[in-house]
Amino acid sequence: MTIYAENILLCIAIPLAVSLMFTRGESRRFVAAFLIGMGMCLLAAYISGFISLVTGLSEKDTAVFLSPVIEEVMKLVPLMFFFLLWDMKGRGLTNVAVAIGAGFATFENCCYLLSVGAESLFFVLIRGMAVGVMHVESVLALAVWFLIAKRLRALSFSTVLGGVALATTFHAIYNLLVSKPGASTVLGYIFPPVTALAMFLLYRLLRPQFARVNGDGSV
Amino acid sequence: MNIGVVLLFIIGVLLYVLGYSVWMLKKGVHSMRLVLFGFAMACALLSYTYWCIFDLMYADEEKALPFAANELGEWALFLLLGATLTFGLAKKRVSLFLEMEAMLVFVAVNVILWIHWNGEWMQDIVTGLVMAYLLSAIIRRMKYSGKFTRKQWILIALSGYLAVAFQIVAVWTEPYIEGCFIVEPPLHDWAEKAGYVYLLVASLVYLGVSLAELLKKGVEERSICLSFMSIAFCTFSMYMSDGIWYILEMIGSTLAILLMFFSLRKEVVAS
Repeated sequence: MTIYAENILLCIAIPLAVSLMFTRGESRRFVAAFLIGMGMCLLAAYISGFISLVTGLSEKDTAVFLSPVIEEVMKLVPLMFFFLLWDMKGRGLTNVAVAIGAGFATFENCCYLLSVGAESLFFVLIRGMAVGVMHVESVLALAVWFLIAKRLRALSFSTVLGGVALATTFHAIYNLLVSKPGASTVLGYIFPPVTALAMFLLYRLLRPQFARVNGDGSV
Repeated sequence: MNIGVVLLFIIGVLLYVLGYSVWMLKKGVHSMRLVLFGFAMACALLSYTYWCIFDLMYADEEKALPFAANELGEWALFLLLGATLTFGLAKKRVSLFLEMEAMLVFVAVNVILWIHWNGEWMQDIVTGLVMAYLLSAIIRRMKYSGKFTRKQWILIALSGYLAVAFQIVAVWTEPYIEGCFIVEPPLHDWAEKAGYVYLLVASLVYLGVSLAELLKKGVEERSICLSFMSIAFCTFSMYMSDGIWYILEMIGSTLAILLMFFSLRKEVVAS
């Protein structure tokens, strides 16, 4: 079924854009980042479509192999903008990251459900949970890594690319697992929540250690 | 030998290294190099997991893996290994011109060979740049340490150039079509096999020397440099090999990961 992604974006974005006029501070920033996330999702779809045409890859192969790279880079762009240009720190940056991820996932889910239908509540819940967690988790992990790397004075091209590569490969594993029906799809849907839990535990485990380290990497 | 089994072995090794690194950090070992190394291992782990899943899911379709996220993971791995080596390294007034020139020529020849073999211009050039960064980091660390003699530098350069020489001979003598026959020059098979054997033997020598340095006391700097040089050499050898030789080099690079980790651990504990 053909969907008009731009029209869908406009329909969802206008109420949110209106709400920007009546909110202030952190709430306004969250809504703005949410809108940016949705916009990035549309841009990522355009770029994926273009690359699919240029390279001759099938729609499915593009979705499985190329889309994760494009989508993660598109999510990185506004995050880097907030991080480097506005010099956002701590909770402010993680809130923005969550909003970008949530906006991206929301728009992707809207388009997906409009194209395949939303009859099965169970499927909708599973899909919403898996994609929502995956997009939010990848961009949040990236933001946390940037904050840690900056604090430890290790922010460089290598560390930024490392973060993007980690987020991209994680996203790509999910896309690969759900690309074929059967047991792999079930594993794919379980994968984001399980890794989110593992990352949360790891962060809790190592946070006191990072807090004790000074800016130059010494204790 | 099935590549799936080797991938599972690599994933096992990476999980062990990553788990051990986290345990060390939790125990209060504060080292940014260890954090960066752990991060590099996480990239490698996800990259190999991706490859393993692809191999399991698409094995029956005999589909070649196109450009995908795992390549980005590999590039990140080598960049982060370079960052691990040079983090906090104070600049010294040491001339690196000759070593850097030799390294750049070596990488450039490799990139040309890769493009000849697979025709993936873009990926091969980016991989070449990434590997050049890793090698430059290793060279810088080795030069700054001052623990390597002139003879050892020449041996390292010779090991790389000899590997390339075998491959160039193999490419020059590749089979060609004349009329409706495929002409197989006699030298081609010999050069190719000799090249593979040389690469494997040289990789084993690198691994053996790194292990010997790791077991010695008070030579942390040499141990680290040689273990990182081992993974670089095994990786180049892997890219130059085919079939079973590729898998053997892959196992070699996995062993080099273990050597790198234990060398780094030795340095962190010593400091």
